[in-house]
Amino acid sequence: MTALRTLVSRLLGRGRNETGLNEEIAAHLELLAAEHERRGMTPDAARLAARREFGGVSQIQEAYREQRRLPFLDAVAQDLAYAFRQLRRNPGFAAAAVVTLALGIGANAAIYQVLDAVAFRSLPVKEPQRLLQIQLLDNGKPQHFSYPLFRDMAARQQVLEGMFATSELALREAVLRGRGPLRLVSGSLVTGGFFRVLGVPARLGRVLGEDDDRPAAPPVAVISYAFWDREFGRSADAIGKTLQINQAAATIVGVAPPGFFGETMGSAPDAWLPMSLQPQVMPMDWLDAPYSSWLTVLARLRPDVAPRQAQAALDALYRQLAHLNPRTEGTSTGCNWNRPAAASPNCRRASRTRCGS
Amino acid sequence: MDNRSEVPYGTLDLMVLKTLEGMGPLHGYGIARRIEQVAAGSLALNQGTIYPALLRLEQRGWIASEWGTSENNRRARFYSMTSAGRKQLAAEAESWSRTVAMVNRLLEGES
Repeated sequence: MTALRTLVSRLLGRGRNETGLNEEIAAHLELLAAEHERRGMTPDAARLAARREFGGVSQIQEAYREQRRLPFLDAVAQDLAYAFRQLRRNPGFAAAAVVTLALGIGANAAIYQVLDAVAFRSLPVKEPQRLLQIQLLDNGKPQHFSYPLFRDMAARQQVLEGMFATSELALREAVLRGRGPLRLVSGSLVTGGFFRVLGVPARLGRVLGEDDDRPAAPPVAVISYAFWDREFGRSADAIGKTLQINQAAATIVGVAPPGFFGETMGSAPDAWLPMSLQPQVMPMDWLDAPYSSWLTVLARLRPDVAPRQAQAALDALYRQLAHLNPRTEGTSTGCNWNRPAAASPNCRRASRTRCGS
Repeated sequence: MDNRSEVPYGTLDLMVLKTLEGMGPLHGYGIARRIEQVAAGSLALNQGTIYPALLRLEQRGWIASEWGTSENNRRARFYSMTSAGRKQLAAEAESWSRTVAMVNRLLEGES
């Protein structure tokens, strides 16, 4: 398949011209220099440092040219020969390749009890034993959710009290402006249900809600207790102040309780921002992008629904939604789920059980 | 003393694929930054070397690209993984683990 694909891509002339490369290099150098400037370098020093880290531009251009041009004819001939050899040796080859592809893009939804419950038990969240992570499996490999898939699933599911999505990608490179020197802060984008589903109240002010996570909603942020302490000396005046994070100017509406570090062990965001701000704080708008998989999805199980029932319902729902999203279309071949934490109190991470579909 | 090591031959492709798998579409700068972040200072990467690698991966059909806008409002090419790329990554990751395990055994046996 790869041989055919390479061949097709070469014949379609998907090689690129040098203007494109030069443009890419220029953008790269600018971003790199901007980063150095943010960290306090003068513009000149930042440009020099960027050049140094990038390496020799002419060498890169040469290597690129070589990659583009040199192997072309040779490679086409080889690819062609290889493809024919494969077909002759194995007449079933073409058919088999198609079948593999169909299964390859098949994925199915699975739910995991969040069993790194050590993290959850020590966090001030409500009834951690009913929190689940919903995971997509592509041939057994966990995949992230796209925003459209999350949105559709959240709107239609009936077995959960609520679900929310966060980005692990976070805003590690978020820049805080307007409060002294520019500096990096870590932000986390969360959908409107985040605080409600986790059951985390505000220490001060209010938490984010569904109304904050709409395209036209005024941009707001909830800050962590640690950030509140560091930046505002735990003053109530923090509420109503503005955080300039990348392209967004978000008003602080609340402070999270002490000891709440978010949903992921080991990452402690300074601020939580509603998902609707994504296009303003990241380089590309991914809210309408069914092919961009970048979200982690957590949910709270309804008290009257067993994990296995939820699993079956979500799996069925996922298959219904699959036709809206060509990439995830395919057959569901099985599901994985973790046993509830309560059933295995001594296990930090219960074993994964395979069940038929 | 510089404790950073050069990028081992053939591993840049693997690192790029892994980065795109984990992060979704990114421009070259983002990919280079992410790899450096993960390496936490232990890697001497000339960021520019990523571009021939990206072209190579795209020629093989493992990644695709499209023009978008960068953080600083410039045109930038964003790369994303194809399903062939996903398979390739799985295969390469496995072969990498095998190689590492083999070399480790060899080194331990020598001592």
